[in-house]
Amino acid sequence: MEFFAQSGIFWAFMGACFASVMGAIASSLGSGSTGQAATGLATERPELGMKAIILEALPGSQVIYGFVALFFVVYVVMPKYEALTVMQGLQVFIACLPVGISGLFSGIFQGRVLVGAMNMLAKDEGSFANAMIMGAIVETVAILGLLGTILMLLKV
Amino acid sequence: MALQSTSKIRLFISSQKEEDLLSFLQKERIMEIVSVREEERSDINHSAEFAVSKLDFAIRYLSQYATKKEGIRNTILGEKIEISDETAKDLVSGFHWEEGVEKVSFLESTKNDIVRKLTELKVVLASFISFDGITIKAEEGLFFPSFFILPLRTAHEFEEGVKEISSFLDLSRVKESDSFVCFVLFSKQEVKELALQILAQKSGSEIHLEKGVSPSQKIQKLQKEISALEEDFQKNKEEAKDLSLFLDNFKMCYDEYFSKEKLNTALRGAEQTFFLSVFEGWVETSRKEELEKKLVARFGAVEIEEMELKNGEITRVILHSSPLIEPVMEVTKMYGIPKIEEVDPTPYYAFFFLVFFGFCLTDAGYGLLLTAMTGAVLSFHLPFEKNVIAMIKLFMYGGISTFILGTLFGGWFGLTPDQVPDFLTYGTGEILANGEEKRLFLGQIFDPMTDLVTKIMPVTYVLGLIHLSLGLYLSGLIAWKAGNKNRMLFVTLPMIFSFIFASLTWVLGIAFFEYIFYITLCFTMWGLGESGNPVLRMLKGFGGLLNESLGWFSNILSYSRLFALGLATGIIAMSFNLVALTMGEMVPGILGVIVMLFILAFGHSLNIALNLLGAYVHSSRLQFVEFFGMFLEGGGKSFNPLRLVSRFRHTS
Repeated sequence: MEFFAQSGIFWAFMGACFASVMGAIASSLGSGSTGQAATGLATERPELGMKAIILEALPGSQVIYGFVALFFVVYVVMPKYEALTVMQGLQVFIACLPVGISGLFSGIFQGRVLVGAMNMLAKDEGSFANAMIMGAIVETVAILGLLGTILMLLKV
Repeated sequence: MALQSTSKIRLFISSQKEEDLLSFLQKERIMEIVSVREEERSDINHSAEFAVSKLDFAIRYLSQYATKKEGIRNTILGEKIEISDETAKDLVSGFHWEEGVEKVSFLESTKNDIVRKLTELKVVLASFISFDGITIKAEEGLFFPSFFILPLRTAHEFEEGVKEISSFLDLSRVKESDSFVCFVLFSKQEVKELALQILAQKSGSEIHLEKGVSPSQKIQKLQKEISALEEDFQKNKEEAKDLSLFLDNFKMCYDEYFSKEKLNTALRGAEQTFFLSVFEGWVETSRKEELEKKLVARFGAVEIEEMELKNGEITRVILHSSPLIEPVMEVTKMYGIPKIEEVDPTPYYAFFFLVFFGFCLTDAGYGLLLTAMTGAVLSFHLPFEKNVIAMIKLFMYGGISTFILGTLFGGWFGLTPDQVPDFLTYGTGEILANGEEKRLFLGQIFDPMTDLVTKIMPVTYVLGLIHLSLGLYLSGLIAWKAGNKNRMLFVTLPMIFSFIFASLTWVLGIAFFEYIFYITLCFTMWGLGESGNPVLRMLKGFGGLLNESLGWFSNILSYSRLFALGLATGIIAMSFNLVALTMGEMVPGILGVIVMLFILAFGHSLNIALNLLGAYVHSSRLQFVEFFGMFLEGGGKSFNPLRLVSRFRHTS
């Protein structure tokens, strides 16, 4: 009971950890699946290697967004208070959910979209711009999740 | 520094001069020829194409035997060669490449024949080699010898089985090893046939010999034949090696026919009457008159007619830029070529690209290293392709930008000011909790430890805002050029001014500008509403404004990656320093210093390599997705004039 009463900082760290770990999982899954397709593309058409690398790097953004959320929690929210109350800690935790969840799903689905984009690129080198935009549209969800998280964190 | 337009033209010339015309155009690189026919002309033969494929075969074959040229220069060149125009001509003239190709073809078929025979003989020899030393000759008669070989595990069962067939036989083991046993069976034909059935069941095989020949003799004969073939193989190889001395001649002939083939392709797509040949294509608009003059001067009767574009036809564009920002153009090319009605984004984003690159690394030490290394590579004038040189230059610029930003942020190989001599730092006057004065590196303005939230993060977002505003301005400019002036006047400019007035009001605290800010918002809503009665238009505009604001927020947040990546570079560098120091202290004496230096070298090399890729990829991404997304569609086609092509000759 005493632990729960003083667990504000625990919940804040849990939130920061959730945001960054979900982002990391999303990026690994997204970049992993895109990377597999990229190796195939680069084997068949080595001249497209750099384009494939850039597409593969797109799902790497989710881990960055998770990191930004973590950063906000640790360096913006927490220094504002000497000790976080349980309610404030829980608020931080809940505020971190949007970036974590949206990051996770957008990372996975961005990976799938980019696998298709690799096929598109293999057939038409000029479709790189479209491939980038298609991948980036899925990522918008993660950015909006981060936006939601930051807006909520600023209100804690 | 813009997109240069091309015009589509139709060119009429006497059909007698069509080939000369195309040769001339190839040398001048002034016109892109497109096919005007649905079916290719049948009067143009495919001899150049055949020559190219024959020469390609010869070059591939002889390349295996050519002496590899050593040195970095030759490694970079690969299959290409560096020679002057004159030497190239000398290599082609008087060289009978057809004879050469025939010789290569003969050598190849002979070699294949030798290899096939050798393989066959070696297989046969392998089956006999177990009987080496056996001098019993194969004979015909009532009782005759048969030679069998079996695995050791079934040999005994075979022996038992055969002895049960008849008592009129003699089966003896003539040779044994760890894995097999060789038998000689003296028997009648009927007995042998029964023995063969058992042999098949026990996974054995029979060795066939000609009459009067013993296994030993057979082996000797086979070995002789193999030696003779190996000699032939060696001779064949020597001949190929001798012929490979003419590899450069073959390569230059290839290039000549390769260009000829391109010329023929252009010819096949041209319309032809008895007297006239008609070519269609693209020419740089500013050089159209020059082309006409040159053609008239050279060929006399030539007519050029400007053509109307067909519906949906894409005008060819030429990307031109100053040599200073040319390396950044590689990033644009990677995205795709802009259409003629768009703008060349390179000069607009070049500065931002380099600043973002520097932001992602933010280590002056790494910046210096990168600049020094790329500068050194460029100073050797190595025979890289043009696009590779451009990329090296791009990284050099990135290195300079990293050095400047790294200096401002105090990033020096992950070191902290207290780890370096005092003369490399300065005191800020601020007294720390431990009573000492806070020190920063010389030139450092931002302290990542204290200014990250208050200064560095806002700087990245402000950079993003300026970057995106520029994109917005370009979108307005494109709309203006296309005749949609309302977009520029009621959306682009009011939005840009709203950012300025919002900054003046809430950042600088000048309350007066708040009203002007609201006016600019009203203008923006009016512009975004597009049409309808005023009330409806403003309502639609309000919805549009909300949508735009959300888009802008999410786009600006994407620039968070700049400080996140910069921070990551610094933290990883600090971690390697810490690991190196700890390990160095754990190992005593000079060995500790060696260990420390090794970890430092390895760690920082890894950090540079990983973050260099990250800096390039994420700086590019901010252009491709956030910036280009504002105004650039891409999908243009670059002007690709008829030219002399070369696969094997390096042209610097």
